[in-house]
Amino acid sequence: MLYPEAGFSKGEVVDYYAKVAGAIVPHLSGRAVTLRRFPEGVDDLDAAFFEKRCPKHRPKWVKTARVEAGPHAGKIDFCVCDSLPTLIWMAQLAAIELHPSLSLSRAPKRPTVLAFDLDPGPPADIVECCRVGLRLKEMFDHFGLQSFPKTSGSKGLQVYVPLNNKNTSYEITKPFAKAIAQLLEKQTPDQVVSKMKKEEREGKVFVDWSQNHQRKTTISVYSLRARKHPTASTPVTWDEVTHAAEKDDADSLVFEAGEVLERLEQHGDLFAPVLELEQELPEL
Amino acid sequence: MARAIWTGTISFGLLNVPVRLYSAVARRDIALRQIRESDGARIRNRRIAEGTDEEVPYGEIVKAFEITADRYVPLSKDELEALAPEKTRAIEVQDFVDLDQIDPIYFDSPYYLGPAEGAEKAYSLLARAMQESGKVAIARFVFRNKEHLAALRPGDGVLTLTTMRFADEVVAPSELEDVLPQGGQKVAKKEVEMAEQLIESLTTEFDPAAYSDEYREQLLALIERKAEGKEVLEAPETEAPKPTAAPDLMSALEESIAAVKEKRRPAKRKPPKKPAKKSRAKAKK
Repeated sequence: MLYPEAGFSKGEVVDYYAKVAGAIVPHLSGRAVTLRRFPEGVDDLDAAFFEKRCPKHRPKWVKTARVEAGPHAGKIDFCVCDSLPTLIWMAQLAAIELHPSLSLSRAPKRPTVLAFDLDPGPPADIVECCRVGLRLKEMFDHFGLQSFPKTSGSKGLQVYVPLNNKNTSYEITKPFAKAIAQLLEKQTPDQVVSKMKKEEREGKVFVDWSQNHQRKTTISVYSLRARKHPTASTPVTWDEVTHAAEKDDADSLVFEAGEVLERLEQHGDLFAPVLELEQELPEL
Repeated sequence: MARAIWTGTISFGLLNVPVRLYSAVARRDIALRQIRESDGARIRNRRIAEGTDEEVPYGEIVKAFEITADRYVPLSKDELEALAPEKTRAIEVQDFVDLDQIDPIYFDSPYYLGPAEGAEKAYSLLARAMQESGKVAIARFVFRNKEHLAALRPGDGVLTLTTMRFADEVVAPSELEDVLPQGGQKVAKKEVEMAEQLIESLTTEFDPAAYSDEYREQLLALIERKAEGKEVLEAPETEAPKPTAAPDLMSALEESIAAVKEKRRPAKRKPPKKPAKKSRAKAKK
């Protein structure tokens, strides 16, 4: 039982990933992925660990990518999930959370997206995140850029701006993201913080721009999260975000494994354009 | 190519051999940084004037000798430089001695001496002659503004220079009489024999490679484990090295957005939302 309180077993985790494979694999393919494994289930955080180095006992057909992991770690071999079998193998390792890089391993300095992680400081919740997310969308609309929201599957909301162009780099995206976060904070200092300090976050939304970094990872779309219930990071429409913000309806943006699969059948992959849309950030 | 840290000339009698000095030690200490535990922010040291919060720039800092509490004799850089030993570029050989006459307590840091360009032959000649005689040269030289005593030894055609401590720098055991045994205790002959036997049984050829810095290896392993696992603290990126760049970019962004708004206002009240809708429709297929 990986989710004891929800009664969601390891078999069900594997089953979810098998069914969501068609949608999630394109988003993981070609990217170094960090596994967050919960061998004793989601309640035993002491047993849980992040795994960057792809396990040595992996099957031969699991692909890896040699990528810079940090100033001390140097280059290490990350797992790359490019197929259903690899995804199933990860799931049976109790790798509940999959955290891919924002860049492809063949071009590790070039992110394919600009990403914002909107993280609410209690008592703020995802509704406040939605309000900030809509302001983000408006800013990018001004520049004629499309942006795409997804739930973090945990407490917050994430906004991705697809780039997929060869001229970008983290040296461009990170300062840009930081400037956006600072501007949001300047406009509404009582609602937004751009700094990581926990104490300053109370009741505000932390616009985390720092994930636009070569060595950082962000939770994958469709990845399960290690919460009490098997919620997943789920792509949503801006209409849904607007609805949640207007109706103060946080629950409307919580999706568990079964609902995610239903939504996929209804809407297809709402995040598909993130992989294809070529956009360029404006020069400032 | 290794970089020489000093160049000069070995001189004794009429013989002068231009040489270059290279460090013979690779420091392998692991540098650890200080951070705040809660968020990984780097700890920075600031030089501030006591009793104030004012940071003091390097240019305003001078050295001083404290005569009595809070009374200083300031010493300017020029004054100190004037006193520094004359920067001769000579390694002046004073004597030749047998190596086993030098107590290892006098040895400090090892360096290699290499020949300067064009001096290869003289260098080889000196190394060879010292090897044949089996002697060590004791020399004086000025290095890093300090006068040094040094031992020059040959080995495999290469000269090694080891800086040495002056006699008055070495603490005599008698100065530590309260903690070091003076004169020696009476011990039973049998006990000494047993200890000797034990030493005998442990005696082997000295193999430096057999000993490694286990603390360093364990520390590296620990760092690697933690770096892979959950315990890595990422420094808050807010403390970026260029603090001025971001606010400027933010202002630029602010102006840029305002300009776009201005431009669009006459045509349409709201910015067009068409592109977003189109992509959603595409995704639904």
